[in-house]
Amino acid sequence: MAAIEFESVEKVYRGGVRVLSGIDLSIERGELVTIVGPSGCGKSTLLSLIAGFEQPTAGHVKIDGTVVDDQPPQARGLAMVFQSYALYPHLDVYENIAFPLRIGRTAKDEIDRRVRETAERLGLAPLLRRRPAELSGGQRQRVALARALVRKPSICLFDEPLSNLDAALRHEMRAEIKRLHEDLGATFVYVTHDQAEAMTLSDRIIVLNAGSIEQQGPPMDVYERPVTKFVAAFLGSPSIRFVRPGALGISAGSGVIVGLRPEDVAVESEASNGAVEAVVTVVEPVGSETWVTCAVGDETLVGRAPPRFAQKRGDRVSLRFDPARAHHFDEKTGRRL
Amino acid sequence: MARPRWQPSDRLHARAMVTPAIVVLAVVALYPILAAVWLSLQRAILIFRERRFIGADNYNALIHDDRFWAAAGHTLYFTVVAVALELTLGLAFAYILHRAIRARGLLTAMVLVPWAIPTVVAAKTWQWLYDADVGLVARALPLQDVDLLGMPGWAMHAAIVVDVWKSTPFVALLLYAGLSTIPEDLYRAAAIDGARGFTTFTKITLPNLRSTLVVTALLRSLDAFRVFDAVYVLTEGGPANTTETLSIYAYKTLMRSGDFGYGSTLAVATFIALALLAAVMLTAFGRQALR
Amino acid sequence: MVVFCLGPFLSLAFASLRPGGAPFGAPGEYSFDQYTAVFETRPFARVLLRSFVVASLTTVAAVALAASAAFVLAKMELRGRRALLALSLGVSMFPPIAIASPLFLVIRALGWRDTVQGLVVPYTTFALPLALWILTSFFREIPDDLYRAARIDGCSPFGAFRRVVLPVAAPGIATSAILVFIFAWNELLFALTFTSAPEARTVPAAIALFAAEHREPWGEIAAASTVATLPLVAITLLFQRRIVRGLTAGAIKG
Repeated sequence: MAAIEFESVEKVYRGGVRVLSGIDLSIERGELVTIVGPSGCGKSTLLSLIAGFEQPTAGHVKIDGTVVDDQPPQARGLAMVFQSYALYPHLDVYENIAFPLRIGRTAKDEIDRRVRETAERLGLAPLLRRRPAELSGGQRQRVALARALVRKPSICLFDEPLSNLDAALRHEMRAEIKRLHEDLGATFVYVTHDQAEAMTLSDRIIVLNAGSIEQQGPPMDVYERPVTKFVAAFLGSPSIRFVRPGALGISAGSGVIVGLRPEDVAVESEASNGAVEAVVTVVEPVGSETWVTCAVGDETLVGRAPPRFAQKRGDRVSLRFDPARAHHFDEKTGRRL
Repeated sequence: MARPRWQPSDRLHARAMVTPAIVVLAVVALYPILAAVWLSLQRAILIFRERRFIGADNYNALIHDDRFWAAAGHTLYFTVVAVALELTLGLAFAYILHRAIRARGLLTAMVLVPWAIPTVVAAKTWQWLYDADVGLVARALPLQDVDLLGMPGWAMHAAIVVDVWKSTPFVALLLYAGLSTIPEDLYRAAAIDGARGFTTFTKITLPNLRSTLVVTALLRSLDAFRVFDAVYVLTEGGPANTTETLSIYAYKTLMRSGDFGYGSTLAVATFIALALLAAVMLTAFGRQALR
Repeated sequence: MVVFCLGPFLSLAFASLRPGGAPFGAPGEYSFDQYTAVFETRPFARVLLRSFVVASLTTVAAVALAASAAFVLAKMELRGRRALLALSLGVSMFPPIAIASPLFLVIRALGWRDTVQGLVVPYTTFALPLALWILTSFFREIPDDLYRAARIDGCSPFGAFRRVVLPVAAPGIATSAILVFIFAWNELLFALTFTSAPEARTVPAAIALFAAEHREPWGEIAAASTVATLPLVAITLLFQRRIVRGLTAGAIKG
């Protein structure tokens, strides 16, 4: 049975702003699903509908097969990790973690056992008597995680939990969340605007754009076969470039636009057969490789070159790619062809 | 994890939590307000146990009541002069607080003292200062042995002084808070552009303080227009009714003469005048200043 | 500025220690005689106690009512929120004198003249808009996520209010409590209107009606005023920061 289901859910705010339309979605038990999209795409609203902070204007939300439209958040038995951590500033770490258990009237010694066990698991044992204000960002994040997981929830929601952390910590916590998911086997629904996070973490990603689901599937499937220009552009860094097929010598019908990911384009300093001629405009060495932005006629492509790439701006280079790796889209509708 | 049983909806909670406040406001405030309007249409004199509906007669009488118009004039004069002085003085105080580097907390606390003092005590204090025998003010002025509060013309200004003393702190605090919201960078930019002293004040401070000034003036005017405590304690409206404000006149009619009908008419008229004043101020200084 | 603010009251307090309420004159002769007089010849101790009881009960009642309503205004969706705001704004604009007369009739009919509840109920009502205004602005400053976290962790709206919002907003509660207390302690009009027995008066009413046969008893007035004001001055000095925040809450956009 699905853990969470959306049946033709619409959400229109007072004043007529439509944030979600025609959402059909099914999240399986034990899945780790990320919902990605640019800001304002409705992903937070979607999470609020699951949590029960908001009610759908039309359609139904089901949890474990039961329609929960009129169940308040506290009745839904979910856990949630917030972007701002939302730790209770008046309680110490121990009491923050214990809070959901105390509300749930768990027996005292059981609370103590589980708080200590969860704190141990997240490396918080030495911090139990600190107040949130005395913790670093990463520590606060761990407390928020502990508070969510101490209840052993079957569903845990994450609202951009890592976006307030610096890059190194974000990496570490990403791995941590993945590990926790594997250990606990709970359903995780993870909202983020960071496509890298979505790619690395999830069993399945759901790309949301302007209030509807653009595409969903395993990360690599979506990455490799984006169904729209939007999805293609949203996933991947540096991002895909779109050019007219003529500029690359690819034959395609009119009204077609071709997308090439930078890692699929090899930049070579010598001209060779079957390669496309280009002029270097920007060179960006990132250590393990070099990203080279080139002008092809009046189009722009980004390609990959070895770490110590000698060419400079204005130099002539040739670009090589496998035509099979080119993504063809209808220029008008943005759909994959 | 077991799902808890059915729970009352959020809306039910929300309703239950606002209802007590609404009930109290409705029963203890809204009902009397409506009752006052109703009483104002009646002839109701307590000691004669008389009460009957007379329609707009009270309002007719009001229009021809010279004492009412005099009181309205006093109230308006009191409000305009007092609020103007409070804004000027309050702005000066706010500037001092804003520029103070050390002891700002202590200064603020001192400024707050008159605000915290009960109006009655404030009025008594000044009444004592005005007192012909022991008063410091009376002694300082060259008018020996003159009862300031007994002289028409002087008494009203004496009352204004009390209000200014009591209320300037409030004005100063609001304006001080307003000043603190003006970014320091704006002053630096102005200084770099060559503005100084008075130019900075008129070109940077005043425009940025505009909405605070309007809000403060509005709050203070609404308050000053309802003045009761200070005048009641100082003069009870005397001498010769020259300090009688609308609230005092209404109070006397209600509680001294026991004329609840006409007294209520006066009270309702005060409210209407107040609403008019607020409307005039809002149109004059612009709604956009408020939001 | 300091002289302007402190001078008048300080000289009165000074005079309270001098015979006849004359600030200067014959040297020497500082005494607490006038304080003794106030407490022994008049029911001033009872009046103080009465004021304290009235102001405290008003504070508790107004803050409790306002806090629960302000929570809904700040953190929940409810139709008719505007109606509540409009009602409270209207009440705070209405001249108290207009309400005094019908309220007087009601209080007389209930037999509440000269009673504590006869003052606490109207005071609570008229302090409510102020408390509601201040508390709503304080509650708005509490992040929505904190409220949501409490809900997710199993709290009903009321539970989230009691266990999370109230403790976190404790400074705001204290601020509004201080302001309401000062309001109730200082109020004169209702105190005059709804009380007649000298023992049932509050401090402002008692001082306002401190009449003597022939001339103002300045010494005693000075002593009584000083006693009535010192607690407020103490509160002000102690909680200066809070009071400033409360007074400016909402009026100034930061």
